[in-house]
Amino acid sequence: MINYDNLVEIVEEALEVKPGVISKGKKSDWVEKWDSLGHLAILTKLDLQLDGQCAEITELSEAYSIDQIAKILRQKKLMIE
Amino acid sequence: MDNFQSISIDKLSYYLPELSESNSDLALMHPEWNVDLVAEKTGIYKRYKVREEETALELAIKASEILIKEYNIEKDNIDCIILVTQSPEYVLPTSACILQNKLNLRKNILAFDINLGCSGFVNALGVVSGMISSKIISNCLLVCSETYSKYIDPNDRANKMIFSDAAAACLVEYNNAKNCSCGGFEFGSDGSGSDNLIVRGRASRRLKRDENNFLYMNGSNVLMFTMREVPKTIEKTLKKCKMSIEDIDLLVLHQASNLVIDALISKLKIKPDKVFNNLGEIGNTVSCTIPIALKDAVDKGKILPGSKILIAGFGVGLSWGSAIIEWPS
Repeated sequence: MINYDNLVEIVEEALEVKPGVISKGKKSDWVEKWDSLGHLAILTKLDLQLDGQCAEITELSEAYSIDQIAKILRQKKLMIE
Repeated sequence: MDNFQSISIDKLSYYLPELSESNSDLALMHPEWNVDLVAEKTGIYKRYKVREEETALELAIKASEILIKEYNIEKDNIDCIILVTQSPEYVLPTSACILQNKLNLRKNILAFDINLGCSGFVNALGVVSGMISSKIISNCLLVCSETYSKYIDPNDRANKMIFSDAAAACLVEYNNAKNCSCGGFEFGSDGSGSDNLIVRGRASRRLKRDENNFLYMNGSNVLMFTMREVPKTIEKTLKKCKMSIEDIDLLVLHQASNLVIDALISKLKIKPDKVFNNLGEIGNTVSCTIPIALKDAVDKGKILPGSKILIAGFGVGLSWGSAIIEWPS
C-alpha cells in the first residue's frame, strides 16, 4: 500500500525528473519525459513497488495523469487516501 | 529434468542485412525526436533494415546457407524445415516450401511456417523437440526470419527505434552426447490481447506501404502482459525441471528492449550479469533475438559445454514460452 506522496516519488524516479516536477493534477502532456516510454517506466516501477499487483490492472496502461493513476490504485485498494 | 533428452541446438548462425540505421542517422532524419532519451531507455543504438526489394525469405536463405557452410552440414540429413516468420513471401504457399527448393534440400522433407513473433523460437523448438523425441524426424533446420521494418510507419518513433530485421538458423538434432537436452517447455497464448500488437495488411512481396500495413503496438499493454506472464512461465519451467534460478547459468530472454529486460530482472530478483543482453548493436529482431543471442553468448564464452540456459520468448499473439537447454558437453 502506498500514499499519494509515494506515488509522486515513484513517478518522478521513473521519469528521472527533479522532485517537485510532478504534482497534483499533472498530466503526461505537460511533462516532456512522460512520453510512451516514460509511461512504461512508470508502470514497471509501480509494479515492483506494489509486489507485482499492477501488472494485473490493465486500466493503468491508459492512465496518463497522476490523478488517474491514483484513482485506479485507490479503487484497487493499493493506495490509501 | 522433465525434458527431451538427447536433443541439441548448438549449431547456430545468423544473417543481418547490409543496411543499418544508427541513432545518429535517425536524429538527422527526425531532428524533432529526442533520440538519446529514447535510446537511454531501450538500450538500442543501431538497427538493421532490408532493402525495399529484399524479403524475409531471402534473409532466411542467407542464414541457412551460412549455417550449412559453417558447420559443414550434410543437406541430405535434414528431414524437416520450419520457418518462423510473420513476414511471409506470399499469403500462400508457405515460405518454408520455397526455402526447401532454394536450398536444394531433399523432397521427402516436412516443411512448414510458424506464424509467431517473439515467442516463435521457443515455441518452434518445443514442436521440433517433440517430433525428434518421438522419432518423427531427426534433424530439423529451424529458421527465424523477420522484416518488421516493412511494417513500420516511417514516422512511428517508438517502433522505428526498436525493431530490426534479421534471420537466424539452427540445426535441431538428435545428439546422444551426455547432458544434452531441451526441456521444461511452458507455453501460453492469450488472443484477447491480439489487438495490442498487430498488422492488419497482407504479405511481404506485394506489401503496400499504407496505414493498413503499418504495425500498431500498444506498448503499455504489451509490457503489462510481459510483467504478468513471463515471471510465471519461468517459474513453471524451473519447477518442471526441478531447478531453481540459481541452477541456471544464463538466461536468454527475448531482446525486447532494456526497459523490459531490466523490469524482468528486478521482478525475478536475479543478478543482471546472469541475463544475456546484445540489444545495443542489433535491436529487437522479433523471433530471431533468442537464437542470435545464443550464438553471440557462445562466441563470447558465456555459454560453455554443460551450461544450463533458460530461454523465454514473449510478445505478439499474445503468446509466450519458456524452456531450459542443457548445452552439449
